[in-house]
Amino acid sequence: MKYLLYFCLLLPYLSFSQTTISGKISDSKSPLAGANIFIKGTFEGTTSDENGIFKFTTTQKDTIILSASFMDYQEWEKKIILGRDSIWVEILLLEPLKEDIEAIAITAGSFEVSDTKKGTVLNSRDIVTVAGSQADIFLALQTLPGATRVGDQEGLFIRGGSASEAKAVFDGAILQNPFFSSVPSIAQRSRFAPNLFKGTSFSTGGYSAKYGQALSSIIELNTTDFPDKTQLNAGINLAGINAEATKKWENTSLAVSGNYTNTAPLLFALNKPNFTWQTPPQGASSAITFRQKLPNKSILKAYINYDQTKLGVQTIDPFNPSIRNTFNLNNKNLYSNLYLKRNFNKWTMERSVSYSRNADAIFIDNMQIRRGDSRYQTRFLANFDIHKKANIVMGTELHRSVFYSELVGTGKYEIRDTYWANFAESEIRWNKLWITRIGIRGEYSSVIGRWNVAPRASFAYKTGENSQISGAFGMFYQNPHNNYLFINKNLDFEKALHYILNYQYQKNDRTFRIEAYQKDYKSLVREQTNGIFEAIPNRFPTGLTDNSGFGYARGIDVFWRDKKSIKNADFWVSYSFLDTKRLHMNYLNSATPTFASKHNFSAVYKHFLPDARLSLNAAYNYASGRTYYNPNNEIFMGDKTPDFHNVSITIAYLTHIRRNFTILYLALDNVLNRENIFGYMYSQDGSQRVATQPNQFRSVFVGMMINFSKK
Amino acid sequence: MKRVFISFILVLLSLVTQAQNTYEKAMQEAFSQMGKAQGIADLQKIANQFEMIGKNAPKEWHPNYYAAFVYARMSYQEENLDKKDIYVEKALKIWESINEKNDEIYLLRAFIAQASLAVDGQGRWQTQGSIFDENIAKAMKINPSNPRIYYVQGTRLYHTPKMFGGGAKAAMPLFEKAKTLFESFTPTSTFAPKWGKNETTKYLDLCKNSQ
Repeated sequence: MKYLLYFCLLLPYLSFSQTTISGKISDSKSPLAGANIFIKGTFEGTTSDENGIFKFTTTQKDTIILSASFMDYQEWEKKIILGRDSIWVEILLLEPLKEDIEAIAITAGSFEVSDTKKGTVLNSRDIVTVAGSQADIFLALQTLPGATRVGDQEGLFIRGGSASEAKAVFDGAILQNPFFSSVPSIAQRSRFAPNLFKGTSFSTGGYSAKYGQALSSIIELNTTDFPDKTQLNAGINLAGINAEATKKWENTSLAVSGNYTNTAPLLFALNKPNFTWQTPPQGASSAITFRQKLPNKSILKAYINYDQTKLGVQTIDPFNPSIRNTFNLNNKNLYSNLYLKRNFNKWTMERSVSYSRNADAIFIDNMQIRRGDSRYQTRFLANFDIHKKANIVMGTELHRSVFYSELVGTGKYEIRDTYWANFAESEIRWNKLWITRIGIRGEYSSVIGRWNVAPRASFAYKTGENSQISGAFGMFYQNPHNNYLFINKNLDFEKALHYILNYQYQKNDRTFRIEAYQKDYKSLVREQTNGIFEAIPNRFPTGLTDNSGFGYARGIDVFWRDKKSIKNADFWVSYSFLDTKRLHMNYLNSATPTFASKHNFSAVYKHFLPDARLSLNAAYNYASGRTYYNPNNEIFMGDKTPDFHNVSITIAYLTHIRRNFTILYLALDNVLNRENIFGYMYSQDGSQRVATQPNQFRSVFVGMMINFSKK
Repeated sequence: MKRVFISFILVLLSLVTQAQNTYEKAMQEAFSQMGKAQGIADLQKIANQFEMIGKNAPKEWHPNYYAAFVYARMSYQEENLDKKDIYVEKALKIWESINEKNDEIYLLRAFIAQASLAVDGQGRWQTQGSIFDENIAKAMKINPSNPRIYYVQGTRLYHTPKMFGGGAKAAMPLFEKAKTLFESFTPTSTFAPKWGKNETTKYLDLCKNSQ
């Protein structure tokens, strides 16, 4: 008995015979060098060599668990019974899941601007530093393919679409008034500063079922999450001053900002405007941004912005171009958004609630116009991971909006609309090469009392390590323009069909993209014209209307970006070919609309000189001539303006003032002082005409930004 | 029977010490390898060893500390930007699994942030820069006489362009301070971090030569 016990106790020491474990480790493509192979619960293990071969000996007995891992590959484990002197094990490690998602993504019709995701084409800093963009996201996006440069109207004109066909989305909520209120023939800036956003998704077509009410494009603006630090940013430039104070606590942050703009004392004094301004644009805005971190990386964001602007300018009289009208505008705008994102185990939810209100008081000579809108919207979105490689997104949104327009003394037009939309979409990664996204969206608009159902589908297929093809198809609906709805509420949705095919090659900070598309427009609103075309911008149509309009747009977009070839430099070029015609509004025949250019080209170059502390940015934009209406030409829209050329340069000097990081910048727009023409306005008899031109030709802008933070 | 019981205890005890010895032995082994390591392939082996030890001795912070540290060093050595980032991410993942909080661990977080800055300094200075500052401050609060704090701060400043207040001249006082502190520095335990001394001297020479 005794001996037996001793024997048992001695067992661990007696069993010193060794087993050699060897084998080969690889992933689906090739052997893995440097992988970690060891016996779980021991310190016995080794690293694979350059051929994926590994070998080590163990004194373990019976059953072991062999474990293998390498970087972010999925961990591998296997029970192994030791009994022989040597064992050979073949290990297949599965590629990291995350890598998989990043490696393949649907790119058809979409330009993602992101700071956090890898493999995106641009980040937010790339956007704000585009020369000539005047720190305006929408102007910078015009250097990407698919956008037409239109200088006399604000908005994005995507692939033959009008500005109203592109919608901006702010943390899931539609931005009713992304730009300052329209002024005839003078494009206005966007209302929101670019530093508000961490990412932008710019769609040139075929976008997701998550969004609607845009025939051409969705610009998704996602606000920044949690600030980096407590700080104060202040800026001063030729057009005004601004400041933003951010306070950061452990899980909460609050930022307050204020901005005052007045173009009169410096900007217009230095750069003589082509228009006569009785009140140069001026205004003030203030905003509050609140962030609350919640458990499980969830976040609550609140944002409220209020601004007030006024301006007064002499505009060309549309009936007699030799006369000028006195145009005065006062605008008040409120935008607020509450956004909650919560992460749960298997699903995430996003909730946005937004309220906006806009009011314009316009005086044209003795005429007084009041127009405005308010919109309350709420949106709920849930994202379920039903499988490691598949998800379902479902959501619903409800908007209540009021639009009004009143010519004081004559009468008021008003629309009240309840818009309800539901959507569902599923993205499935079939394998490492294939991804598909299929979605459907249904919408109801009470003002026209109609429903629509819009299917969307897209895919991407990896054709090589660095290349992929992607395609998208979709049906898109949009309510007719308010100006038509004011009078005719029997109109139907306007409709567009998109077909997109895209090829992308991305390697080592170089990106090449080419995309072909076809877009069919159906049931566009058309006026009964009786053969007379009124070429008046901002006209208020009062005639009979129906949905008999139609059109098409087709073309090719090419994009090339290179951050690698030149040291400290980054550049991109984009070219768009566009062939489009439509019969809509008060058009007499099917024609290329005034906001479309056949050829668009942009080149953006950025160079950083570390020793001189200088950042040099230059951009060249070209757009071939746009059509305009000439009453003397028998062919409707048969004339074209001269081509548009613009060269702009921005120089930024980075320095410190009293240890506070400071940027001084100088921006030159239209360096060559080219007198670009956007179109012509004719007198009714066709005997006289006046060219529509930008407010300034060559212009200079200087400014300074300082960042104060605790050192 | 009593004797049997005693010998049973003895054997048990020896087994415990054997287990401890295995941890110490494995750490010693990895440590000696780390001193000789050259190139990424060598470092990968050491990182693997530390990672394995870390998995098997989850209560100890040293193995994971060194695994993360070695991955950050691999990121510095690697030239391909994508691979640099993969190493940084791996370092960070291991760092996040460390439960202990002390000055060395905060300092390591700053060291990893700096590796990330080396990939894209211009694009990341805001996010990674403040992570760096925050963790240096935390480490400094716990142990202001840790020489590595000043060495790491010095390297960051040394590699920051002059226009942002960096450069050799600005970094030199930090390396000098690190050097003085290294002279009186004694590690608290066998496996406590003690890297940075030679590098400090190298950087000091670089600073002196650039003047």
